[in-house]
Amino acid sequence: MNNLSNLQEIQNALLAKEITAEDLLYAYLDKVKAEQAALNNFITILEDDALAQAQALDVKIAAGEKMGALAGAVIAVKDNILVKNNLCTAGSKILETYVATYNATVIEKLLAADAIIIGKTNMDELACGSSNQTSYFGEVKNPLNTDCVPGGSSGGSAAAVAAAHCLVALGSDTGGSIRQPASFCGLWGLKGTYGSVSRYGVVAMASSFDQVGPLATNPDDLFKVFSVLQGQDTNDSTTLDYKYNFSDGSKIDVKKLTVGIISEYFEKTGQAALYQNLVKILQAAGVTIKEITLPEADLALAIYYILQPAELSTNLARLDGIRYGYHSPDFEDLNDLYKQNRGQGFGAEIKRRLILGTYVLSAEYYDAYYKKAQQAREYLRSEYRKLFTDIDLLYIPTTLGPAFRLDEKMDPLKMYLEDIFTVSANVLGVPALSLPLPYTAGELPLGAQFMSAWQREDQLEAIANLIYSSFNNHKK
Amino acid sequence: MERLAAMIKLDLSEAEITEYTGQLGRILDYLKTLEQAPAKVINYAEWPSTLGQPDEVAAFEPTASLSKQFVKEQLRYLEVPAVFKANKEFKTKSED
Repeated sequence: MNNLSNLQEIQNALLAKEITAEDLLYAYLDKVKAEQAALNNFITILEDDALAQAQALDVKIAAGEKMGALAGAVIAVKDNILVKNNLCTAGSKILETYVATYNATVIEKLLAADAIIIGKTNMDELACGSSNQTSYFGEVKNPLNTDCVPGGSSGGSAAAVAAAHCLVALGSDTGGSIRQPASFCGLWGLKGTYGSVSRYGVVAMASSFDQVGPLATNPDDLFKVFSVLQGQDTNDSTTLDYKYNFSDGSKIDVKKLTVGIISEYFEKTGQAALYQNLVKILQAAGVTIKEITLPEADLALAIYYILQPAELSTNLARLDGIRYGYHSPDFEDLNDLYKQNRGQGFGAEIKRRLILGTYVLSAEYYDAYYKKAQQAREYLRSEYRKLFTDIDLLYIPTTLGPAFRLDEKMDPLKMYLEDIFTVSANVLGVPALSLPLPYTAGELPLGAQFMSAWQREDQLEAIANLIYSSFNNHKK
Repeated sequence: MERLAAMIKLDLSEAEITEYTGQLGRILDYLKTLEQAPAKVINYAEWPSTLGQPDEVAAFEPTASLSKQFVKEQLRYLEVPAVFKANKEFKTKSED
């Protein structure tokens, strides 16, 4: 089964009766069970549910019925996405025993498309973190080098795809939580336009930033899954009324695209030549390259680390351990019960962000921080609206460097600064793609990031296909 | 720090208070980067102010505040006023 490297090949094999969906599922499950202890990338394995889904697909194929768009796609989902009747911990002690009572919209869509959901992946607590080390359920190891982090907060999802524990995984991206782990694990990761994918049934972190998206080993699988996830949802009023269809990108003539680059950003990674090689590939394909200046990366990071904790502190007010979640056995009165539940139920990173969020929302500092950050966000949006009339895509690094070591101690501020290249897309709400630059075995990969204007995922798909075929031709 | 923690009902140890106080200071220093945003583009007057909404840790007297909503106490259970009693549109199936 190792030769089935993408969904198209899997579906061809299923239709030709060379394999069954049940065989396929167990090929993945066997690998998960053998490696889970070493990588710690799953919190819950959904073997029974997944088996029922695989068997239902096999019956469908045997009856000659039409398969769904994702038939045979074995998918892992981040543990902040609700799957009915299963635990949804969001990597936190406070939700350690929480069982979902309904399916998130993205789960309903995957199941309707005949996907098989293999399990819930480990993650930074409540999606706060860039290394998967804030999880209550322990750190996840990077399958490419187990001394290193897989990135975060969707670190378990990235590790699952990189270790071939599933074909595709879902993550959520509030400030880079799909793209950064994709970069660290040598994968393709996509965050769509804010409002492209429903947030219904996803544990809220910062509601004006959160988006669910896929991680995959190739752009075909990535955009196929995204096309199923995307679309308006009556259960999420922030979803947008537009439709992206898989292969919309093939209608785009890449020779007509203009890509903006900022060479100074490439130099910050210490690997400028690697990033410039991709520029040469794009130029050779007829893409117009334009050097631009964009002084606002620091500004986007400051906006993000004001608004994100503010929204987090508001959203997490609901987690008090009264109706569900962690309940402290020792307390003096009701007020003390709230304090104990939250004090013991949340980890250090969550407490830090709750305090920061409450501080910037407090009456005394609201004008200086929260209000100013909202205004600066609008300013940044207006600047990018102008930018995207001049260029189609912006090409920058995904991260400052490759995956760092598990034992590397980082000050919280230093860890926040690591998000400098990813947060802009969330602050603006534009779509962004991270793809792996070529690397050899033993090396740690670096990610290249492309951002497009709002709702132009088709342009990202076009550039992704161009780069993927160029890299593959180069390998040959 | 203690006041912030009290406002969000978070029990913090002395060690946590010391650690977060130092970290918060460094993070807030960095967040002054926000001043890069050109003020002339931003119309501050359009934004709501919080004047008149001081932060306070509200007195927490659950028994007194909750009991005002209770109609009567029956055994161990407390009966609350019906919300939709007068509106037939909100009748439940079991009432039909």
